[in-house]
Amino acid sequence: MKRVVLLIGLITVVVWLAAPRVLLRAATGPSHAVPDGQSGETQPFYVCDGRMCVEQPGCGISACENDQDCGACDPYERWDCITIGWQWDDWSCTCSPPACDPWDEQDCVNNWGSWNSSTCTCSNPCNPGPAEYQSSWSTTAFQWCNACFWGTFRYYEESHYTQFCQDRRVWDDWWTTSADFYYDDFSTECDYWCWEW
Amino acid sequence: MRRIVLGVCVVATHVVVSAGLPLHAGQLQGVAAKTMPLLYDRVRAVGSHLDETLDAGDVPYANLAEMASRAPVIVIGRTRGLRSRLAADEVGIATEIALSVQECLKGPVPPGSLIYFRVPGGFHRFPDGRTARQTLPGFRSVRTDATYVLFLRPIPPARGTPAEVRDRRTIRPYRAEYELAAGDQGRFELQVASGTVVPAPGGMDHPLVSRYAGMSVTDFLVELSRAVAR
Repeated sequence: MKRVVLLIGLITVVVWLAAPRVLLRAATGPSHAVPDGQSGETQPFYVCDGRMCVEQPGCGISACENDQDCGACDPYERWDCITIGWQWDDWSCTCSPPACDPWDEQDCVNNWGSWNSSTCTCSNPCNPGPAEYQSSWSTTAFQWCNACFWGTFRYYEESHYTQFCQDRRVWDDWWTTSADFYYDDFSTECDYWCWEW
Repeated sequence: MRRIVLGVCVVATHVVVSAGLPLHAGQLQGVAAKTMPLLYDRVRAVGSHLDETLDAGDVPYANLAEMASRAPVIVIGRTRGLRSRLAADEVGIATEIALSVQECLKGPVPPGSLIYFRVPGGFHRFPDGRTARQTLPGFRSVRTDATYVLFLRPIPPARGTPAEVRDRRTIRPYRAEYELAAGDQGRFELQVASGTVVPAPGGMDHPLVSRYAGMSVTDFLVELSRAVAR
């Protein structure tokens, strides 16, 4: 009777030790399917579906461990290709250099043109013309706050300039100001602008 | 009997009126949207500078498979430049981004080509010096010289009479042929330095963020390929 109890105890210990590993294997995917029987079958098992390795329920012999076994590309090779700025074909798993000069392409973008990668040409880039004076506003001897100080503008002028592309698209526009300011004195009238400042 | 008939009439009237009110409210909203003042007028109303936030308004998707099933064009590429413009209707701002395509997973875009896509929002300066900025809260802005996975769709052709369409093209010749199919959530940055994925939404409550933020790029690319193959 003692031997039977000892045997049962040993079997329990062995099962207890082995069980977590078996469960862990089952949870980690294709390469860790649980062997089931003598013929290499596992449960679940994995087969190729196109270029994907997919899980199947029940017992069977796995045909793949990951997508690469089914013809999918190596994701590390793919990422290496993209990081160096080359082009990746995920069907043939090939990495090829850009056919056109990347600097020409960047110039095209900087000029906001349309790049044709089959001919390596840039069409309709913007060739900004000279700054064109649009309008201005000027005055003399008007009083105003400049930061905390009340003073007099002996002269003040704002001018508006625009740069156009050859097709009259607006490329850039800006205002310039020129002023000659004479500080009279600190004034409570400028409190608001003081806070703003 | 009369009381019953009267009661039925009162209930019916209540149902019709209460059902009609939301419909009317919806119509009012539609009218309000149509008559939204021009951006310049909104800027002028507040002074010299206007800061506005936009509402993404897109249904959040849970994973790449859902995104892939809804996007006719999926590409990986590097952003080369961006430029904000006043939208054609002059109500908002759109930013156009140039992307050099390195891999096309779905759609008719040859690798190596340069495409332009647009996103809502940006910065605009009017000729009189007034400025406006529109941002999409909760989303990271697009960076130049960065690698992205983009879920795109073609921009539908402009509507209007031939003369109107021609005039719009002449005044503001847009480059963009594509826009993000499911809004800004369809934009994932692949960070070269860390080798990890950065989804465009910033908040952890977005399902795409909780699933893909910080994921290794190689694992992400495997899942992306599987999502497209389905």
